[in-house]
Order: sequence, then structure tokens, then C-alpha cells
Amino acid sequence: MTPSMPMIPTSPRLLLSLALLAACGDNLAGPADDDPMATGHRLTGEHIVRYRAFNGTLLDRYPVDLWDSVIEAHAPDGDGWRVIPGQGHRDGSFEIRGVPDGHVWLRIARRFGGSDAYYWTDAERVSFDEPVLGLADGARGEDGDQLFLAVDGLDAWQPGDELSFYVPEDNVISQDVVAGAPAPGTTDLGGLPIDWTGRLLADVEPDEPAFLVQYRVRELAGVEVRAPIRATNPLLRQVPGDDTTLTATLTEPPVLPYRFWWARDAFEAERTAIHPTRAGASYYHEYAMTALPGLIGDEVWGSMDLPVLLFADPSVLEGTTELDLGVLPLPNPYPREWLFDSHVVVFPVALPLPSGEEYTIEAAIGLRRNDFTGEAVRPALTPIRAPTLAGRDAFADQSGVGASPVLEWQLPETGAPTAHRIQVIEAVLAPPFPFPPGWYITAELYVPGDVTSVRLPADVLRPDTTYSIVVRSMAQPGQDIRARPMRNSGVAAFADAVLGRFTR
Amino acid sequence: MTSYPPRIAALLALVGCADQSSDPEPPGPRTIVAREALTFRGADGASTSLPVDLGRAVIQVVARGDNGGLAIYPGEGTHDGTLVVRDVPSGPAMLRVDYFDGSAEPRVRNEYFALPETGDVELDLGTWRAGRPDLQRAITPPTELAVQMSGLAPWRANEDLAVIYAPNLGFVNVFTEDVPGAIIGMPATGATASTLRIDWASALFAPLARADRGDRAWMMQFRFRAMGGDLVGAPVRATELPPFTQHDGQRTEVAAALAEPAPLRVRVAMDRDAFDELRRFIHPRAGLSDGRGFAISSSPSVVTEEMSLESVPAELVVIDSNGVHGRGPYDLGDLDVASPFPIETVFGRFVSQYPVELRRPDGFVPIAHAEIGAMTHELPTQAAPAAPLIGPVTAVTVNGQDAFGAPRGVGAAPVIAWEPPALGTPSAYEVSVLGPGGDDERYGYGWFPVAVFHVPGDATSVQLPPELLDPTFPYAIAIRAIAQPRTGEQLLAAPRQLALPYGWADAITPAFQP
Repeated sequence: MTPSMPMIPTSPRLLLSLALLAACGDNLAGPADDDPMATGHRLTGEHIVRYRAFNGTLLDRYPVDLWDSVIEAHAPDGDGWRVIPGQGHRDGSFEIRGVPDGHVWLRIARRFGGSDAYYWTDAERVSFDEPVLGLADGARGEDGDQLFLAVDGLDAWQPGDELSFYVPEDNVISQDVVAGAPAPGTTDLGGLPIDWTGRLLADVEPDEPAFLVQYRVRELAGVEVRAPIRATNPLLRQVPGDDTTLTATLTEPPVLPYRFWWARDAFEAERTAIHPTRAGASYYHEYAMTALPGLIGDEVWGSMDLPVLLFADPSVLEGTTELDLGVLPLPNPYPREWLFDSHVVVFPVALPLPSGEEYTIEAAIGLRRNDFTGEAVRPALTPIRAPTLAGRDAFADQSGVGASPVLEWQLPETGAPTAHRIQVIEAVLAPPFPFPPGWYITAELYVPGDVTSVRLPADVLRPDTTYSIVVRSMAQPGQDIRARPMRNSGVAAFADAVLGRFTR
Repeated sequence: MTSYPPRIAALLALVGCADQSSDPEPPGPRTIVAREALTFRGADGASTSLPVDLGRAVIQVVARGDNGGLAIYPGEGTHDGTLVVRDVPSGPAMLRVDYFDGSAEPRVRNEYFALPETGDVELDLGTWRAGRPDLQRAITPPTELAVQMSGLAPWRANEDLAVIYAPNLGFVNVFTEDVPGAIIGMPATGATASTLRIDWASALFAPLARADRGDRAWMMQFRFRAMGGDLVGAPVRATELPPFTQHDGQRTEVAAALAEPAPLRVRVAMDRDAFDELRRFIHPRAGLSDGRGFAISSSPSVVTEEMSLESVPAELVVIDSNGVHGRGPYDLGDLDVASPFPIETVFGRFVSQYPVELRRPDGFVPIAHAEIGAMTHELPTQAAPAAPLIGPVTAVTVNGQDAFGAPRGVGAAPVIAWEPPALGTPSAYEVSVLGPGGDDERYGYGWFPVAVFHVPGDATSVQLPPELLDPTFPYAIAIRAIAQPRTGEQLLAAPRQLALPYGWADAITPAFQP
């Protein structure tokens, strides 16, 4: 057992901004028994983080060191597996030779972070590359460098207001650049000096997205929200060792009529699909509208998320019935195509440890969208159905499922998944310090969305250990598990199912 | 399950031997299998192996490929402590095991093991320790052990200690004074008998003894006395306790009739000059010794046959470490030790430590500590005080350049070479590649071993695999010469096994940039 990541509390709240996975697919069928195993192909790939400008210009690259990662292909071999070891390199590349044609589990067990992931693929090249918007690490202000804010046009400053300065391509993220300095009523900062020592510098070209936004917590449609109130697109060039003046006038951004209507009851109705008996009533709801500067085409590169609409008091989101706040007149300084809202509902699932100790893990259903239709938000994807493990009901506790059992399921009732993440978790009663007893991730298996049956790979399940599985179904346009697992898109949905406990 | 792993030409870590055979190498391929477990050897004869999880370890063999170049042969590790690498050609080769420890800040921990040059290989990477793994600890207070001590030498408060040692439980504890509610009955000054009542749960959370599992315990009255101005501690009375069984939450009584066993005469003498004369081989600027150790102990095995550093020893002679500092002859005279243990289990451990400044690129100059040490069953005498068994290697080079002369441009896969020590006959070397960062106290807190090569004693060089070094970082090399009675063949088959006498000596190079 390697307690790589504590299972609980998992963080479904972040999931919509994390890498989901891609579509394609095939079922589990492996090569025929008489396939010439020895004369396979060469499976290669790489993991390089590439930093790019909006226009695609490569700014920097960072190879992810795979020299100390376990690289393997697990090829179906009757009811078992044939493990074909490969090799990772410091330059981010890897290769496995002699891989038979057909689907295999590509295993990459990384040292940093401790993840142990398997990808169901028949590709000859798998790219884990990650595009990131902006510089990896740009120039920084020298000791004493100042940024003078010759900024007017503020809405009369109120306590709690924030002035945020965002330059996505330069990685400048100054959430509250004035740190409450203006006196109440101020509309003109009059060259207010800001110490820029050690901070990333902005170098904004004409037409380059950059934002100076005044945020305020105020009432919209009867609830307190934090949202933009004034904004501008500044132009400036900061140079190390020089003071710089930012001259700009803020104005009211255009208003986006936005209907906030969350059919929480529709999410709640999926509770028994997560687990028929162990999932409790939802206990956490998360909502945010953000702008994604990293949206390039239909793909999302790594980037900051810029806040557009947050609820000052998140407790207004809690509940299990419809929440309809009507149409909110939302000032929006960002490109409309960048705007996404996300709705996540989190459910507690009771999964006692084998010792009898009570334990709760979290499951979630959520989505991120950018077509604000005015209709109530309902789950775009629901959990898988009728899972079986080794031919038995997988929602029930089972023992003796074997070392490499087959997990089968039916596709969700709603939505078309493009991928499933099968998270095998194990109960660890005496983990090494400082980890507490609990459920820990053993391995994560990624399969294309149309797959409904997988055999667990070799050497994942061990004797005398209790496991469970969390199946997260995902839907993301353009996902490609088999060849490019790390690809993200803006529109996404996911839904969890938590299986029963089992032993090998 | 059959696999046909490819040969991936890239790198090699080959061992160069001083006296290589000229026999032609038979053709491969061959299969390398290794098993790694921590084996508990119980006093009742039971042997329990706990496999080391290799499922997350990177497994490779570095060898010469068909084209004569260096090649990597990837292998597979499993959770049950086995690994296999197939289709390895004959010839010099090393097995890489990059362990994954799952710690919050995992560090690279590569170990390379030299392999026999021909044939299939079965390697034992395991270690062992005395004792049993299925210990049950006392958790319910009071779980009292009442030790009815008699036959004590008249007790001297502040000088005497009571020691209970149970190797099959991996347990040793020193009792110095009463602790209310937990330890009651430490003897009063002048007493020759007392009942020591120990709450095994609240005082110690200690493992419970089971007579039927072979658990045995010894009790010693340990006394510190002045010898030549230094404080020296050793048992003056001792006994093996009758077998007893403890139950959680229950009281257990046991009689301890201490006596004076036939004394073990030990000369508390160390030839510090013999250690210090080797300092110049460690590093030209190695500092004066900043720490020494002198101890006599008993281990639960016949130490000339096999020794386990994992087993819990019983200390028989300890010295205030301040006393053994300094230079020149060190001889406090003879000491009679009331040892209850068979002489074949008794050994001495004698160490001198030397500081070496290893400058890092950020300007920080952490101190690495080199050791010259000996563990031996041959206890010191007046004529033969404790002395080193082996000295450091000499003439260390990095790709042919003097390692102590700021080598440059040595490339990403340099050959590290050396001359054998002037003192002693090495049976093995451990060549550690030190990288900046980390926190390994053995080499100081500024450097840590990114890889350790286990090299046979007849080798005088090792080529580093190309991807081991990052060209943007500096590295230093620490070579530990080891002398022990296990043969080269035995160490190839089981590189972590050892027996006494066992000597070691370090040489540490300055940092160099690949």
C-alpha cells in the first residue's frame, strides 16, 4: 500500500477546473490467443508542459521527468495479463517495445505526487502534454520597483471593494492590488503607489487581454454576490528596475442578463444512482461563474480562472429544491466566450472501514457550461448503472472477486460519457505517520466513455486488503483517452458512482 | 506469462574489475530475478518474511546491448517483493531498483546491484532481524510485570540502572527511577533485592511476552563507574529470566535471580591514531575527528556467521562519548563485564567520524561526515586496541580526472574509478552519488544520495548511467570500502547480508559539475 493521496476529503469541488478525460473507445476485448505477442509495436509518448502565448507562440517548455516513473503495458493474456515493462526518460519521453496490437493498459506510476494511473489505449503514441497559457516564470520587479495607479472612473469606493489586475499571458494575478487602501468614496486613485518588488511584471501589447476590474459585494436579485462593477483593459509595460505608471479609466462593463436557476432536486434525484443505500442527502453545493482565458478553440489550456460571479454567502446554495433567483443583470468585462458557470453537488457516502469504524467519502455530480440558455440547470451526465464485479452486484459488499476481476456497468441514463475514471481505493487501517486510517487511492484506471467492461490490471489487488471503487463518468467534447488523456475542454460534466467494499 | 522486453539502447552502469576474466562471454539472453523481504527469525524457529513492495519501484538492468553500446533492459516489480528482468545479455550488468517510499516528500532512492556476468540470476535483496512480527502490545493499564529482583550488587542510586532485554520482541528498556503510576520499586541505595513493578501498558506500550513463542528476557544491573577519568557503563549482575507469558490487562510475576556470570574481560582501549592516520585518504581537507564511538554489545546471532543490523542488540559496554574524543592512545584498562550472553554473540563497534566540507552551488557549505569503523567479535586487548579493519580508497578519479582537483567536463555518464585501500582487503564498495538537497544525516544535511552502487570488492570503477546525473546540478561521490568475511560470490547473490568482522571506511570527493 502506498498512501499516495488521502481519499477523503476528496475534492470534487475542484474537479471542473481539473483535467477530465477524453473519448474514444473500444470494449475490453483483447487480442486473440494466437496473436504473435513477441512481435508487437513500439508504444511511445511524452509528457511536456508547454507554455504558450494566446497566438500559440511557444514561450517555454518543461519536460516532466519520467526517469523514475514506472512505465508498463499490461496486455490481455487470457484471464490474466502479460506485463511489458518500458522505460521513462528525464526528457519527458517514454517507450515500451513489443506491445501487442489491440488495447492495453498503459501504466504510468509517477514518483512525484505518487499517482498510479492506467490508460486503456490501442494507440502507438500517447501524449500527456499539457498546454499552459502564458509564461512559466516571467520577469519580476526589482527591489523597490513601484507601480503607480493613475486610475480613475472607479465607482465610489466602498469598504470591501477590490481592484484586481489580470494579465493572463504574463501570469499577473493581482486579486486585490490596492489591498483596501482607497478611502471610502474615492473615484480616482491619483497615482497610488503599489510596491511591485518581486512580483511578476506585465508587458501588455495592444489587443492583448488584460483587465483592471473593480469588484464589489452587492445585492443582485435579492442575494449578496461578489461581481465586477467597473473595469477597463489597461495597456502598460513594466521593466525590472523601473517604476511604471498604469493610466486608465474604469467604466461600467456591458451587462449580461444571466438566469440563475438550479434544479437542485434533479441532482438530488441521482443520489441512489451514486449508491442505492449508502449515499446520503447532498450536503454541499458549489457554484461559480468564471472566465477562462485559457479557452483556446474548444480546448482549455492551463490558466488562471477569473471570477465573474460568486455568492458572498455560499449557504444560499444549500438545499434540495429548485433555486431560481431569476435574471441577474451581471456586469461582465470579459469576452463572452470565456464565461462558464459550474454547478457541483456533493453527497456523503458512508463507507465504513473493515474495522467497523465509520467513514464517509464524498461523491459528486457536476457540470460546467457556457451556453446560458435560461433553462434550469440539471445533471448533464448521471452515474453509471447496474455495476457488477466478477459478475456480482458491485454495489453490494463482495469477497473473493479474484485478482483481476471484470468490472461491468451500463452507460448512464442521462448524457454520453466520453471517459470513465475507475478509482480503486483501499482501506488502510495503519498507515505510516502522519496519515490517518482511511480510504486511500490505490490506482486510477481511465477508459474511453463507450467502454462498459474492464478487467482490472495485474498486481493492483492484493490479498488481505479491502477495496472499493469510485467510478467517475465524464463528458467532455474532444476528449481522447487513448492518445491524449490530459486534454481539457471548457464544457464538461461528471457523475460519480461508489461501489461496495470487496476483497480479492 | 512470457514477456519479450526490448533492448532500449541508452545507458550503462558497468563495473570495471581489477582482475577480469578473459573467458569469452556465453550468449544471452538470461533472466534476472530478485526477491526482497524483511525476514523475522523467531526464537521458536519460525521464519516470517514480509515482502518489500516493489510494485511502484522502477526496475532496470543496465548492460551492454547487441551493438556493444549501453542498453537498458526494463523489468517488472511486484507487490509481493519480487522483480524480474528478462532477455538480459551476458556480460557485466547492474540491476537498478528505484524504490518508492510513499513519504510526503519522496526522494529518489536508486540502488544499483552488480550482477553475475553469466547465466540466469536469482538475487536475494532481503534483510533479516531477530524476533517475530506478530507482536501484541499492552494497551490496557495496568498490565503489570512484577520482576522480583534478588542477588543485586548493593544498589547505587545515580550509578545503577536496571535493563530488560527481550530480543524476540525487539525490546530493550532501561529503568532508572520510579515513575508514579507506571514504574514502581526501583531499588534503594544499598538494596540487594526489590520487586520492580512496571505497567507494560502506560509506561511503555510494550509488546507482550509469550513463552510458547520462544520469547525470553534478560535482566541486567548496569553500573556506570569512573575509569581513567571517563564514565564507563557495564552490567555487574545479570540473569536470563524464566520464561513467562503476559496478558493484556493482567499482572505477571517473574523472578529475577541476578548473579555474576563468568566475567567477560574487555580492554577499553582504542588506537585512535590508527584511525586518524587514514583521515588524509578521506578527503585532503577532511577535518580532525569530531566524533568517536566505542561500544561492546551482544546480538541475537553468531556474529561471525551472520549479523543483522536490524536486530535489537543488548549493550554491554558503553562509554561517555566525550571521553573517547581526542587523539593519541586511549586505554582505560581492563573491565570485567557480567555478560549473560554467549561469547559468540558479542561484538565491539568502534568508529571515528571526520567532517568534510562539501560546498553547494548556492554557497552553503554543509558538513558531510565520513566514517572509519569496525564491528568485530575480536574484542580489544592491551596489545591490540580497537583499530580500523580497512582504509578509504585512494586515487579517486572522475572520467580520468583527479576527483579532488575540481574535475570539469566529465560528461553526464562519467566513470568513477579508484585504487583499493592501502589498509585491508575490500569485499565490496558502496559508491554513493550525492546530489544537492535532501536531508541524509549520514552525509550531512546538504546532500543526499541520489544513487548507491553496490560494487564487488575486486572492482575499481563504475560507470554512471547516462540519465542519472542532471547536467545542471553538481554532484559529489562518496565511496565506502567494506571488508567482511562474506565472499564476493556470496555478496553477489545476497548483497545485503553481512558477518563480522566488518570494517568500513569512506572517501568523499568535492562536488563536480557533469
